[in-house]
Amino acid sequence: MSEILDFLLLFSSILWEAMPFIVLGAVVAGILEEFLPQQAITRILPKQVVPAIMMGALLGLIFPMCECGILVVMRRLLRKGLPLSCCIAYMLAGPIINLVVIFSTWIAFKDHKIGFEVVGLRVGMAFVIACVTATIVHFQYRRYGNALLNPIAIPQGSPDALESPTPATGTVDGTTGMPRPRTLFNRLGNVSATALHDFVDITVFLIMGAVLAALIKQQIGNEAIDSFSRDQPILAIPAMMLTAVLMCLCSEADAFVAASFTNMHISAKLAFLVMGPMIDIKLLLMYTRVFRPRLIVTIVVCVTIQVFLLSLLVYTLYEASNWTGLSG
Amino acid sequence: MPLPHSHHHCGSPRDYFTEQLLTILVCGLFGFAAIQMYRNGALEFLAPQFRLPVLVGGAAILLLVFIRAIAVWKEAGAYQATGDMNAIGCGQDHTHDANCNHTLYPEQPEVVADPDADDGHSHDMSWTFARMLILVFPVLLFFMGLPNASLSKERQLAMAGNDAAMGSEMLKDLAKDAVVVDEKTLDGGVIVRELKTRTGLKIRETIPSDGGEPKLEIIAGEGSQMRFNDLNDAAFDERKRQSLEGQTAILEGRFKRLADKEFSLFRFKMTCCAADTVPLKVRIIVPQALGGFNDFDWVQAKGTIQFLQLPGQDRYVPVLLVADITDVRKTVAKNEYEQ
Repeated sequence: MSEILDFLLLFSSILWEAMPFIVLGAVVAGILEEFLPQQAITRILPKQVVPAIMMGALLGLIFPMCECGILVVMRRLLRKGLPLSCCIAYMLAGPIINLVVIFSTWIAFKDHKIGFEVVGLRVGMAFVIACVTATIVHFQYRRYGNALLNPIAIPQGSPDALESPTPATGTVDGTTGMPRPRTLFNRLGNVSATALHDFVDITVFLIMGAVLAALIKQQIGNEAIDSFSRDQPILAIPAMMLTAVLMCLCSEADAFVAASFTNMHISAKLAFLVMGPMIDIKLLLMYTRVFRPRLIVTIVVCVTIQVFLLSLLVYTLYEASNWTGLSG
Repeated sequence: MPLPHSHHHCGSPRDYFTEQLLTILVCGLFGFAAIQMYRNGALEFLAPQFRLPVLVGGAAILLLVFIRAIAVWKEAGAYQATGDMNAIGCGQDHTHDANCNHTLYPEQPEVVADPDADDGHSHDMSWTFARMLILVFPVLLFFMGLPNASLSKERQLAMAGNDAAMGSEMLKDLAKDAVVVDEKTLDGGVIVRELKTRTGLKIRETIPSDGGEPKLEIIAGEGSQMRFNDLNDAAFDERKRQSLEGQTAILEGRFKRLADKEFSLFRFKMTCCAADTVPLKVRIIVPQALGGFNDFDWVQAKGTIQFLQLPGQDRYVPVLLVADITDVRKTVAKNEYEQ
């Protein structure tokens, strides 16, 4: 019985912590859908792919969102014409490269004397991984086009796009069939329709992800992870990547959990801190509301390989300089 | 040949309005539950700074629901008046038919959208009902008074870990490098010396006149309440360790026995929610075997702060050395999470 109650507690804590951010994302999405003119974003983006992607990866500094809320906003930006590659860069890097998470990461590690290192490496790795993954997605999109996307996320104006997942109330005269001016209430009605639609759509998958995460988290003991990472510093990197996927922590909180693994090499902590905000169980389920499986596989493979290789590089560099990255 | 069919909620007026009303009902309940959980103090599993956002989120959902309800009400009126779904904007949703010719792949124009394919939204109401059932789950938990505020006793004790005891000879080891601050010879030749270690620990050493085994006792100070989090953080910082060592701390936490004369007090730190909970532990070493305490009891202990290295490890852990066994006593229950 106590295990069931613990499961319900873990499930509820993951869900209700994320809920306000989903609501915020849904409201922003509703406003974007109603008020942002189609293709307005593309006019301010650099024409070249790589600078546009890099700008997308840094968008979190202007629009800070956690990984749950960012997906909802990103889907609307995608429909409004932001290139898929930029959306991917924003989606992957945004939950890490934003001032709130940067600050919380520094706070978590400042007493360990590695605050600036962890922040710098985390942000740097996130930026590189987001840009590389987005570039790969860019080439994949050129080949497969909107077939990579869930129809609900296909940019408006594309031939296979859904015109609107929500009714545009008041836009058509019932008798003449002609467009009629929208009142403020019509517009608010449309914002609420889009926001509620997105809230329901994403929260359903958040709930399913939270159920899975809570079930798995019950089986994970921090002490076992800590002792394993002390004995197997290289294997600790993939182990911590997997842990991040299973634990489904918010990017604002994960640094404090990583800091609690006191015996762990900094490379494994970074693997945990970079992987989690990009891929976890609930996010994978939520991704299905934006992407088709082919694109989800691309993202997962690209991110996983890069997180592992970059963490391994950090491990090698630290070992070469004869420093473990452990605080003393 | 595929049959023409409309997308989304415009399959039929009945389906459309059913979906809208269900969305309004379930989202309304969701928002209501969020607000009530905040008002009833049922968000103990979230860190304090994340509780107000739940209230705001719930209020925002209710506001959206309110606006949506009026909009749907108006749409229903317009539909009743005209009998035309276009009048409520539903004509904005496109309709697949034989002339639709939606391409799925730009490079393969011959491949058109399969109107029967699951392209992200269902063509019947089953998916709508399934989604609403999933959304209702956390609302049902709220009406059942679940979840609890904290993790179970078994889980908390498991999270506190199975630390090995540090050993009862530690005081002797600490006294080895101590300097003599004061020395008196009592009647009968008993020598009493006050020692101070380099970590600020004050020890009273009583040497019997017959030259027998000296008795070591800790000299306690007045003591002040301290936080587990501060002591655990200081363990990683040499300057903080030095500034805290030798001070007398009073701590209140859950009891977990490690040996006859050694136990841990623990509480938890929550950054955002219960899922990111980590234990905060301080070891307590007492001068005599301790009885009358059970694991998970709430206990207050007063002792001198030291930071000691665990055998075979580089890291330090915070330790309280208790001078008198009466400085350890049961206390009233507190919040599991240190604020």
